[in-house]
Amino acid sequence: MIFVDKDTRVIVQGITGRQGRFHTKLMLEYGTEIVAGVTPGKKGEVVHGVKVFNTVEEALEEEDAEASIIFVPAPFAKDAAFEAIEHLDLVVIITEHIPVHDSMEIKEYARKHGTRVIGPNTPGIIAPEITKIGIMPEKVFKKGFVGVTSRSGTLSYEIASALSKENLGQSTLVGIGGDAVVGTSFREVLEAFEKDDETEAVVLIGEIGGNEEEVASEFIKKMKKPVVAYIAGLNAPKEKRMGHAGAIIYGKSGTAESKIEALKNAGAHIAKLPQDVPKLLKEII
Amino acid sequence: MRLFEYEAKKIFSEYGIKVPKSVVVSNIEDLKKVDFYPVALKAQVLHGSRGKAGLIKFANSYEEAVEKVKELKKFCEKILAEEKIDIDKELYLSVVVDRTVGKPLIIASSEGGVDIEDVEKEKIIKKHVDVFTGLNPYEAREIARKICEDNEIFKKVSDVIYKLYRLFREKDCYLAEINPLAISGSDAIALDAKIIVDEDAYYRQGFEKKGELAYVELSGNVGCIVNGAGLAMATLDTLKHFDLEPANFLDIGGGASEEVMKKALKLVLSNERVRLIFINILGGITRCDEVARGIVGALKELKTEKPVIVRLVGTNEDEGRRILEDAGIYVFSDMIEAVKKAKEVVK
Repeated sequence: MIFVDKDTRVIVQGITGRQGRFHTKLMLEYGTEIVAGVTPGKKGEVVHGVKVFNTVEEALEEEDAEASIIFVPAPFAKDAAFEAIEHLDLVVIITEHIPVHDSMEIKEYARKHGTRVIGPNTPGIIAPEITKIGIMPEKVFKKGFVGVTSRSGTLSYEIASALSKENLGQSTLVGIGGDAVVGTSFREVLEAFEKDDETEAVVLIGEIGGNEEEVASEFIKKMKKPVVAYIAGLNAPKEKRMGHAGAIIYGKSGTAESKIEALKNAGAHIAKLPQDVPKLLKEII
Repeated sequence: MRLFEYEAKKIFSEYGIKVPKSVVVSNIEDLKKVDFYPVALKAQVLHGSRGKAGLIKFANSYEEAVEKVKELKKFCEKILAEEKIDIDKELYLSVVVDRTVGKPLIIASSEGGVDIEDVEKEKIIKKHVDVFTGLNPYEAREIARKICEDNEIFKKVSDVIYKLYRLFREKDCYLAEINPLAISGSDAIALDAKIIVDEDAYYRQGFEKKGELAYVELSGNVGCIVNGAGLAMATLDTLKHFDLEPANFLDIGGGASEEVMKKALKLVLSNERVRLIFINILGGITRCDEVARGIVGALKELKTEKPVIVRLVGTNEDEGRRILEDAGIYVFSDMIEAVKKAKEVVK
């Protein structure tokens, strides 16, 4: 598995909000080591047995932690992310609709502190049957040897579910997020999967907009492990934001065709439909 | 969200970037305010290459302008009437969010007035900016000296670059572009202006927030309602794969409450071409029985005769299926089977 393990200790920022509360419960039930929560002004409260602190620094005076998951609303998310980046090694930002200029600052801040940021606008990360720092429905996942990475939430559940049904369990699923600027790129996730002993093959679920997939293709050329890719948005019109802030084609850049071409040239196997992913994977391993 | 040229130029002016003297013409009356001839009449539409499309016209007199405005009014609400500028040279300048590295990127070229994608690589200057330190004036000068020579013009262009970057940051832009930046005598004037503002920054930029549903109309007849952007795109691609034509893209987000479903159905049914509604819900944490009740409730209220096909999977799936079947709605757990049924119904 990559980026997390069964001992990864997690702080939930925004734990007293509706979403934070709800997913804290689900993560605890899944077995995630949640050691503290943070909501400024709510010190002393307890959420599903988890103690709440005013700041991350204060939480760390009582509990050790490596990671944070952020449920803070968009206008305050940058500040919460900076706080986590300064004190921790891994920061998962679930929040949607963070302005892109804030995301550029978050990415720069993380670069300067050497912290890994996943997201924003991500379902998070899950190592099936071990831990999850995220909001994904655990039922569709199964432990195994396929590394999965995606820009989209429900589409990754769709494909994970199809894989699980065919007994193709997953080592880790990393949602990199649907925004234009995200903390961790496809390429970085692939690099980690290539080094990971428990991962034998990789599924990449991309979509229109930007050039994440093209950049990842440069690395796929050098990979020993096989890669199956599916790209959504072949029929998306230009200059229209397709749900995700990052899913938009400008001019000749960001089309599904360009991504499929780059991935094919790099030796990845292309699934025409999401349902074809397990079949393709079985053929090559 | 892309701004109209006249809106973008207003922002340029606020930042001290020189633009031609102009009047925004909404009706013929407004033309009386124009006291500069010859005048350029530019249709305010949001797509590029207006020149080629005949959406920029010139007039030498009031009478001529009236005629031309009448023609242009067929294509747009507003026309920008602008003083005609004598151009010595055209440059290109823009600041954009470079998604790959997550930094602002300044792009400049001595070859303006054409699509930057068509300019030779050697003639394009690119420079990333650190979001925290921002653009220093000397960095603007380092870019400017590579695209112009004359001392006076060099100073003006440096200043425009510096101001364009400030505007890009302060106005939450994805893109702020001047193409062309006209050199006219010793002046640098923004002849065109393209600004794309980040919709997610609505709360601090004072523009109205759009609805929570991400909807894009397409040309087909299968109305689509899907939860999640990636899955929604994949649904369109799957329909197309089976020779069906989607009427729209619609992402209703993670949950699928009755309230949201009602809004979604209303939106999809507002398109008269829609002959069939295809709903694809992957209920992760949301329960399928709640989704099913939402669909049935919304359909009952909207009283549509159009066939509905639902693909539904997730928690409490059996209960969800039963509710939909009882209401006479086709329901499947396999996406491909649902699409095949849609094909049968549309034929």
